[in-house]
Amino acid sequence: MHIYFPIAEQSLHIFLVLGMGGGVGFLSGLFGVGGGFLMTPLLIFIGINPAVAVATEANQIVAASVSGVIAHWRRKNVDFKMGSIILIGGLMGSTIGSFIFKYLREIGQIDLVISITFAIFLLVIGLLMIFEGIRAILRSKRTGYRRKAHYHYWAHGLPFKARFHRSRLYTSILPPIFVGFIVGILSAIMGVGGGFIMIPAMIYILGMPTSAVIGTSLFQIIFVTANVTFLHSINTQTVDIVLALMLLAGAVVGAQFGAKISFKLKGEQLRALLGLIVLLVCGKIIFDLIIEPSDTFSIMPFISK
Amino acid sequence: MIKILVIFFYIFIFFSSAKSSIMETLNTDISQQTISISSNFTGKKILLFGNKEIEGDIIITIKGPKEKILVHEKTKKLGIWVNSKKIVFSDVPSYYAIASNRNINDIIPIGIQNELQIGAKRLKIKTVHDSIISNKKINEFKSGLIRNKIRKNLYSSNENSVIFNNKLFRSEINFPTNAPEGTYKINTYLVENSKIINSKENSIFITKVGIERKIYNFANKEPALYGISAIIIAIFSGSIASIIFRRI
Repeated sequence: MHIYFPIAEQSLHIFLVLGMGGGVGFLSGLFGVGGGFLMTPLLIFIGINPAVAVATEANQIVAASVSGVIAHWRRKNVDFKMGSIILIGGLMGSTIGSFIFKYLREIGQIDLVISITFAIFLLVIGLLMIFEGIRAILRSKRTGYRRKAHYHYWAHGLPFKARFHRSRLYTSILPPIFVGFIVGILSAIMGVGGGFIMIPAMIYILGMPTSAVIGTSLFQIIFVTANVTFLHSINTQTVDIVLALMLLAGAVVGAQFGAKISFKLKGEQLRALLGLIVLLVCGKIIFDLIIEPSDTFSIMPFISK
Repeated sequence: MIKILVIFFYIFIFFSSAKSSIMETLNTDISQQTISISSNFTGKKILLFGNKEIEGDIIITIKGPKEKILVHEKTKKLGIWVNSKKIVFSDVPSYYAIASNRNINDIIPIGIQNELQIGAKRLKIKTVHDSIISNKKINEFKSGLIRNKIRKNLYSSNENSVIFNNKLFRSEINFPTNAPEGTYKINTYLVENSKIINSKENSIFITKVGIERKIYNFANKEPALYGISAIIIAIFSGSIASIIFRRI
């Protein structure tokens, strides 16, 4: 049974769309990432116009994140104060990012920029996660390792300090704003929530406890992706509400299962597993960049400025 | 179903042509004038049928609404494939199909094919900046454009797809899911001894209807409101799902 999607102008099988939503939604709930870094390339892979894929995925992440954050909120795993500070940067970044996106699309380099940014970020973060995950698993096996009450990071020395009770931190608000800003730009350009960058940044740069990062990340992703949805609706009219609804029908179900399982697994194992998935996606993107395309010519509608 | 329709059309043509257009050597009609894109749209096959009073071959061309297309060529730079050269073509038919009862080169000389733009590679497509670029380069890009269109099922060539039955003929025309909205011109040529004896034009209109039409219009006419609605729907759906799963 096929469904026609009015903005994507494509007809896709209903189970393909639901299945993609469900699979990616499961990972979304499990790892606290929006899932966009998998879904956006998948949508492009099945033939959806990249601009439609990016904008529609942003809309779908809003829903998946709302559903995910509620599950974490019940377990008090959301630092609303920290999330709001990160969000200040996130809204600025995603607004600037959507205009960069528009410009790159006009000069015909958006696909390349998307691929290279994905490749670089996924490679670095994937390696980092696997390395950290394996090290932590080995250490916990040997000595029954437990996390210290708090670390001292370089970021703690910056001005404009504030107290974050849930994260047990007393730190400057500048690093969270900066992290939010960078991730916001990437969110608009790549059609991702940015959880796969946000979560390591929260752990390694902001020094937040692992228990609070997933919920807090999801909390601010809701607003950043809502901003991206809105701006892409205005700038390019590429948000396909029907496709987004179908994807999220699968995704919200998958995310619930993912969230339930995530509480049963250790943080270190999760990180190593996510690192592996990230590297797989990265490998595919790099492969596509260096292998000679079957046709060196490609076409797109000419958008007059 | 199609077979019953075909028989019906043949009977219809037989009587109508016998009565009114004895002098006409060629008559054509199509099984429907409009194609509606609704939620279960997976492309559409329509039937072109007609009769011819003399011996001869039939060539049919179908052209979709024109569009501007940006063609990129990738070259290898620093180990990766990058869009480097580009040419913009205007007046590109968004859809182009050709059908005939046998090999077109056997039916009609290439000179006339060029003149009437029969065949995708003979389409007169203009470049926006042809003064700087060599003809050879433009042709390379044009071939690339046509290859891409064929891959997207928007360009097709179906020699031998026109079926004869004495004076009557018919051909199925396939419109894929991604066929853009607009008016499609269908030209039917009756050819005898390398000369075009008669030709007829039909047109078909493709349009989105129902909820698809409404959503498309909403997104394009009220983009801000559409964006906000998309966000509200997303938040609402996410919350609902969460509540449902809490009960379970």
